[in-house]
This record gives sequence, C-alpha cells and structure tokens, in this order.
Amino acid sequence: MLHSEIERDNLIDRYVRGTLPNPQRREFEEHFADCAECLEQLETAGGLRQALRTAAADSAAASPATPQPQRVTRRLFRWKWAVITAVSCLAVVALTSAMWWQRVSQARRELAAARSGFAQQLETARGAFERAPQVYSLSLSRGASRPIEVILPGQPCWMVFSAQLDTSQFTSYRARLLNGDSQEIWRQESIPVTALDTAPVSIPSSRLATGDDTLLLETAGRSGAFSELARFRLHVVSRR
Amino acid sequence: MEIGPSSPADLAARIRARETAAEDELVRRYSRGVRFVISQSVADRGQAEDVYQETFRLALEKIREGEVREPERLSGFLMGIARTLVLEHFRRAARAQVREQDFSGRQIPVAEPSPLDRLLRQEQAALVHRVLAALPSDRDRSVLYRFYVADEDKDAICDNLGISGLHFNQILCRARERYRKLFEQMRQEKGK
Repeated sequence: MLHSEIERDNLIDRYVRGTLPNPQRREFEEHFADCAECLEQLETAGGLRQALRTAAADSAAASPATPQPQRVTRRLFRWKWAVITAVSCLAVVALTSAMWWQRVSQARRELAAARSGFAQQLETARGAFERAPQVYSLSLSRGASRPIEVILPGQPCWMVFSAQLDTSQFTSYRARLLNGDSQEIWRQESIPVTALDTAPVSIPSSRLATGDDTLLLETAGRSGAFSELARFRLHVVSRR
Repeated sequence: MEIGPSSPADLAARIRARETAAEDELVRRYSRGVRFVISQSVADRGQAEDVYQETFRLALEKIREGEVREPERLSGFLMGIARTLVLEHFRRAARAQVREQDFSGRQIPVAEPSPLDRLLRQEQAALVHRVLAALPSDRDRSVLYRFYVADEDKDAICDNLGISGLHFNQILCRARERYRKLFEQMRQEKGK
C-alpha cells in the first residue's frame, strides 16, 4: 500500500472514524503495523478525535441554564384554526362570491405563516451546526432501569447518544426515537458501525421535546426484518 | 557493521529457530501498531494491556509452531490475532455481565476511569480547546465537531458549509498538526 494512496483515499481519518470497509481496513492495518509515519498520523488523528469528544461531553455537563425558547409557531397555527372555523361558519350563510373571497384570503395568510415558520426552522438548523454537540453515554442493561435524564440546551445543537454495546455481530443499524405515546418522531437508517463497543446516534435537539422518549436501536436480519438491539428510556427536561 | 531489520519471512524463520533476539525484534517492530489497533476498541488501559500481552504471547506460540501460512504477511497475521482477541474480550465481558446481574434488574455500575485516565482526559481536553481557539473561523470549528464528534460524512459537511474537499482536508490537517505539536510539547514538559 502506497502513502500516496493512503492520502488520496483519506484512509487515516476513515480508519480512526471506523468507516473503512473490512477488506480495506485489514489491508491498511497490515501496512501500518510497522509504519512509523502512518502510526504517527493515526495516533494524532485518534487523539484529536477523542479529545474533541471529551471536550464536547464536558461542555454539555457544564453548560449554563438558559430558558427554553417559546414555540410561537404552534400557538400561531392553533389561533389560525380558530379563525378558519369562525370564517367558514360566516361563509356558509353569506353570498357565494363572499365565501370564495374569504377562502382565498385565508389561504394567502396560511402560506405567509408557513413561510415564516420554515424560515425560522431553517435558521435554527443552521445555528445547530455551528454549536458544540452534547454527548450522552448510554449503558445497556436488562430489566427495569431508570430513564436517562437529558437536558435540552438553550439553543439548538446536536445531541450525540453513545450507546455502549457489542457491535461485532453487525455492520449497520438504525435508530428510532419514540415519544411518550410510542409514536415515531425521528429515525435514521443505515448507520454504519464505527467501533466494536459503541453505537453513536446523533439527533438534532429540535427533535426532542420535554417528556419521556424512547431511543430504539435495531439491526436488520438476513430476511430484512428488523430486531431490537437496545432500548433506552430518555427523560427530556429543560433547564430552569 | 550494522544489520538492518529482517524481512517478515526471515523474522518468522528466526523465531521458529528459537532465536530470542528475533522474538525481541518482533515485539519492538510491531508493538506500537498492535497497541494502536487495540486502543481503538478497548478504552480501559489495564484491559488493553492484557489483550496486548496475550496478542504477542499467542503470536509467538503460533510462529514457533509454524502456523504462519504466509510469513511475508507477518504484520497482517499479528494484526489479525489482535482483532480476534479484542472481539473475544468483548464477548467474555458481555457473558460475565449477564451472569453477574441480579434478578432485581439493577443496572451494573460501569467502572469509573482511573485518576490517571481522568487527568489525561482533562489534559487532552485542554489541548483541544487551544487547537479550536487557534482555528480562524467558527466554520472551521464546526467542521471538526461535525466530522469527529457527530461522525457526519465529509461530502455532506462540505455541501452544507459550501467548502471544497481540499479546503476540508486543509482544516483537518492544520488542526491535527497543531494538536500533535501541543501534545509533544506537553509530553516534553512532563519529562523534565
């Protein structure tokens, strides 16, 4: 294996992140077993990655309390539905042309409100990418267990849940987030296995709401049916 | 006259001939690589050391018995043993946890990191803060977090932030180089 190939294919970072396919990973390991140059780079990249994760976890533990932002959009739509109902009742008894005019005006207002809501969500998502993520370590256990307390940040960011389990029997998994009513509110398919003892899941904080959620990790069998790997109960709270 | 290192096949042959110097050479030559592979999966230092010792013990035993089918690929043979022992380590740990769990379903406490490990983590975190502070923009810091912490795909990060693959590599290379220098400086200061 040539160093030019290693640099071209970014093997150092892909190895440290655990995203190399097995045949390529074995070939690279056979090369760097006694290659001081590659080992130097691997140790540096691995050390930097570990230190970043540690710093992110420490930041999450030390983050100051900030108030939860108001969910204006949801209240706005509830108010809007009240207006639509009242207007529709008036339109039934009014002339046909007046009813048509009222419906057109309503559609225009809803479109403007939706645009405003989407713009706000887009700006929120942009901000999330630029802030340090919060990292939670999840341990697998049988039987009843205490839910894990998750503190919502004051501003949007990534929430990284690192589940400690044996991943040697599969190459990818999916993650699903269920709310207190067991309804699926978020999922991510085909997450590649990156380490032999952890399965990380990254969720935007905007997907979490205060209350009890469940994080499910599943893997597909040969028939394609999914089986449960692990289940973690999350108790999501906002800082006071 | 200084003799250069043996080829992998020669080294295997010398070990089969029970040459002690050859066994020492095997450990010297592959020690760092084996430790790195093990450390990627086994976080606990004590357990990683156990797997490391067992790797070389088993490798030497198999080499002496002539069980290396391709002596020229001795490094691959050694790394394969290390990977297998890491997997076995986790399977044993999982079986032990099932056996030891009591029927009340209480969660078995995870071993806390040692004081030395905690100190090392704190020092590494301090170094990484200096690395992040030295980056020219929030966008560069975002690249590091998203790539190394959130494990996002390189192409997705580049598309989202509007940077080229080359710029992405430069950010990573700059951060790694700075981290390496700071880490070396810290080790030298500790050695004084």
